[in-house]
Amino acid sequence: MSTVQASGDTQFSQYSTLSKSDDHRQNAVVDQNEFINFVDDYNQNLKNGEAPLSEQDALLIFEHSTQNPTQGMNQSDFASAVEAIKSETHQGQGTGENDVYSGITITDANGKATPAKSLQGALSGLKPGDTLTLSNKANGEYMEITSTGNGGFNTASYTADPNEGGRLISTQKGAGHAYVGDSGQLYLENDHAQITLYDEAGKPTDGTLGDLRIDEDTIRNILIDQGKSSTQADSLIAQFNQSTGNTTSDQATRQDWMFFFDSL
Amino acid sequence: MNQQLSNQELYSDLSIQDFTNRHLDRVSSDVKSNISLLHIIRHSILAAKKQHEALDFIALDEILQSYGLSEKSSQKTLMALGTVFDDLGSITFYDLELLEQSFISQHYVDAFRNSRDINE
Repeated sequence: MSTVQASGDTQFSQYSTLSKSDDHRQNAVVDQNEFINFVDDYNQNLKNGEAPLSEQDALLIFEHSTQNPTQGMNQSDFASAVEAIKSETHQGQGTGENDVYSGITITDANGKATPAKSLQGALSGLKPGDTLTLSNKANGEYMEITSTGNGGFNTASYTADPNEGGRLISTQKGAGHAYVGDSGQLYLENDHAQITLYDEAGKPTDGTLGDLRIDEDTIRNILIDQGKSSTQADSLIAQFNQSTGNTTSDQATRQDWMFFFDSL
Repeated sequence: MNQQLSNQELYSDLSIQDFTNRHLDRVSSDVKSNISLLHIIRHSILAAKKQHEALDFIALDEILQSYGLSEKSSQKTLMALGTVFDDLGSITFYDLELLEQSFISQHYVDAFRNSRDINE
């Protein structure tokens, strides 16, 4: 449905599910014909890079409006819960986002750079064509994330600021949803991303994915698969945490773990 | 807290995952924040391996605290959920996925209402 013709039950009949249900019409919190007009207008006034609302999506949104489960929701209660969680992770563990990144900058498509106060705020305000740059305080790594405008992100990771000689480590294309974890670290949910790793000469390599972050549970499972007991696995992970000074080993890379186990 | 669960694990319904991926960058920061909270709750349920169970608020409180939330944060989270769900009833993992979809849908319904108000 690149465009939906405005008004009229004849046109609306393409929404077969809705048209069949009188209950939906009666319970709807929005008028269905007016909603179709809105979708049509919306699709004709898309912002740069935005995909139109599909017929399927419009139908689904209307279905939700008929059930309206969020009618009684209290936004301030949700905001309060989020703030409470953020607050305790920042204060309790010392791993808030300000501890993870020393610099957060948004550069728009015209090259205008603006420092951001918070990663969550920067991520929320990222527009298609904008590039978010992050300097990791712990390891100096530098990451560029460009919003592609269709819900995706392209990323490039460097050993340091590329303008100061940082070497390209990896790129991702087609990464999906980005979010800030409780630790303050940026995460990209990238099930279908194309990841390319680069060697020290800057050549693409099939690599060992050594720069991918790997979490404690995965390491614990690997150790147990290799014959360690659960207690031994926990002990090794504790040693790793002690050796790196990390309060959480969730930020460790596969390379970090390999170096650690090689040193034992 | 385990933050490394994949996107796929957070969704039992891949059509909802697809819907979120396509629309998340259009919604307000409030909606994104709400969705982040739902992700934390679903992460905690996955960590407790309770994603196939209907959970009452007491069980959910235990799960959230086991996941690492303080008692205060867990209570605030449940208070927020209580504005949407019956706090004497139960919640499933899938209910929380549907709520995520509702939050995004509501963004468009709100935009529709605003446009209607402007036209009137």
